[in-house]
Amino acid sequence: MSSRDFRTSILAVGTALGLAFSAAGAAAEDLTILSLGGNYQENQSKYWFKPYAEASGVTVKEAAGYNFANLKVMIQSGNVEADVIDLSADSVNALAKDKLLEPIDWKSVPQSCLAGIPQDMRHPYAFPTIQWAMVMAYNTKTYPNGPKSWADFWDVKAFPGKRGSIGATRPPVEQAAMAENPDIAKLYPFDIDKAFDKIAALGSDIVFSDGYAKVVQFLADGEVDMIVIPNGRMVPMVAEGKPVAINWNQHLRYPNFFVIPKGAPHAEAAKKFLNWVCEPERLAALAKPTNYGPINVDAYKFIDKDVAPLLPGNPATAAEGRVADAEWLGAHRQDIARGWARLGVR
Amino acid sequence: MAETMAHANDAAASAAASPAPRRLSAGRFPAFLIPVLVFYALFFGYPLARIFWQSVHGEDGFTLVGFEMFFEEPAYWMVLAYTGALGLVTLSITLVCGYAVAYWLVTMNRSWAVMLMAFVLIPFWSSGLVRTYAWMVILGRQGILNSVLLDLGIIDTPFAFIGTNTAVVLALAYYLMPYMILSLYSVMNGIDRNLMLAARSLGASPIRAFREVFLPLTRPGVLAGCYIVFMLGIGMYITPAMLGGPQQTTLPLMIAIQINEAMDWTFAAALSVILLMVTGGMQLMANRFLDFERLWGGAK
Repeated sequence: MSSRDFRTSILAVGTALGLAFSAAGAAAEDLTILSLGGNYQENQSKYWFKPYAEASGVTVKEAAGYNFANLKVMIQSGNVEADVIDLSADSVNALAKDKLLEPIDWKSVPQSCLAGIPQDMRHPYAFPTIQWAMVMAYNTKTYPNGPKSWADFWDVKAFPGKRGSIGATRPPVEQAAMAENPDIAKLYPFDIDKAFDKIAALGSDIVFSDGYAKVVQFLADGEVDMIVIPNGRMVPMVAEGKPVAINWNQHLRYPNFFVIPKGAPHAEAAKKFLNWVCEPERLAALAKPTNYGPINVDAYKFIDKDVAPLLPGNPATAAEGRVADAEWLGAHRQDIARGWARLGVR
Repeated sequence: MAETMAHANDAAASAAASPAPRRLSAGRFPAFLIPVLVFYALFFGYPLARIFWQSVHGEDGFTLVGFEMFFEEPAYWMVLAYTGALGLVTLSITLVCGYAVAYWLVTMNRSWAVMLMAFVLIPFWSSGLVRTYAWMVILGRQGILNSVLLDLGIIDTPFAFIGTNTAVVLALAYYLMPYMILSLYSVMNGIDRNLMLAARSLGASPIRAFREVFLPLTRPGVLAGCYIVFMLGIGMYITPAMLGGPQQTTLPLMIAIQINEAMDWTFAAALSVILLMVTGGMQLMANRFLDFERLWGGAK
């Protein structure tokens, strides 16, 4: 290639890039929302994203599925492709620590939204939406008098049968700690090594899987009789009338948040969306189809009496569990990873 | 043919007998290599350098904490040892089975061989995830294998294959088998089988002819196959993740946990560097003790 050819092609590439950038710049009334996919996002789309697009005239684009690694790289590199991201509490804390999130201006949030949000959920960098809960689900045919606590989950004599849980990524250390010490108020801090000893004590009575979908499948297929599972995952089985029940005692709640990443191309549009979606009535719409509970307590005014008991954080069962300490967990992820490695070589 | 025989008997003689490879003239840099070099520098060299950089950089600048964490925890050594052992066992199985299949393919009628070769290649068309999932269907508690064993009365209760070494090794060996077969087949196909006949006519038994003529000639294919299968085997993520339990945690799984869950990228990078060092070290050893000139040169 001669040097002139080379220069021409550089120019061509440069022009193409320039066009691409100006095209992105022209569509200012766009909003891209990145969420978690699945049934959850389908309902978010149906009850939040599409109605907002209609009401505001903004073009809402959706993207689904990410992992923490590519999210962090995306924001760090400055090539941000999302304006609003649905995030778990520990991801929020990790990204906030690295200053990769836009602060939430709580003063500008409408009073009708603010009133029902508990004080400790008003995160400086994230807007709380729903919460899910890690619960115990069991086969009601195997256990007509179902297990009532994590101590029962570990009691293979009183409740013979296999147990199932997600493994490597989220081993049930908190549940093991609660089996030892049932006082949920004093769950954190707990001894992670002891918790792994407790998990190891179950031996071959517990089956691990690398995904929640498979854990649910294990219960559905009768491979196991008792599982540790996020409550929303049980919705289809319960709806089909399968012989399964959820034990809410000692559940752990995990809030989810909407965040605006640093460098979001349409940060202002994102703020407008948050101030729209935050209304309790809109938050309430997701309750029935997903069984995830609104964090805004005012939303319960708009939720059916028969749906409310299925939701994490509803007034009837909230006291039986607690919010997981994402900060403590985040600080101890490394110990949990090491514990998992040790569990493998015992 | 004279050249191939020389290979089998004496590497030095072979080097002397074969014509010296045409070298590019030393003074001129081959310009046509520039795009490839740029591509590699950007998409391989740079990311690799970043991993090395990340492995010694924490929140407060330079640190060796990632490597310390590895060397202070025997459980992580065991994970590394398990990863290597898994690679070796998989390698042995694919070598024994793959050798038999490749030999059978080169000895059979050509049109049949082409058709059967297609069966070896078909699995390449579907994703590794799907193929691993197929093993879950076969090995599950209510899977095909368990129902057959139950129906035949060989077992009374379903056997939990998933979460065992058996499941992981089986699926890994299945996944990597085509690489071994292809490496062996390409070399075996180039071997003149008159050599075996010559050995027989000179009084060697069929077994001896195979052992002393055919087997040494397939050495380049064996080495290349072993090399590819081992490298891919220790780096596989999906198979141990889906079919293994806590006892089947491999180094790639640990790296994934560090990136996505523990969110400790310094440690993740350190683990990656360690894995790279181990494979790099093995390559050096292989270069030293196995004759690579002959390996690549022989596969003509």
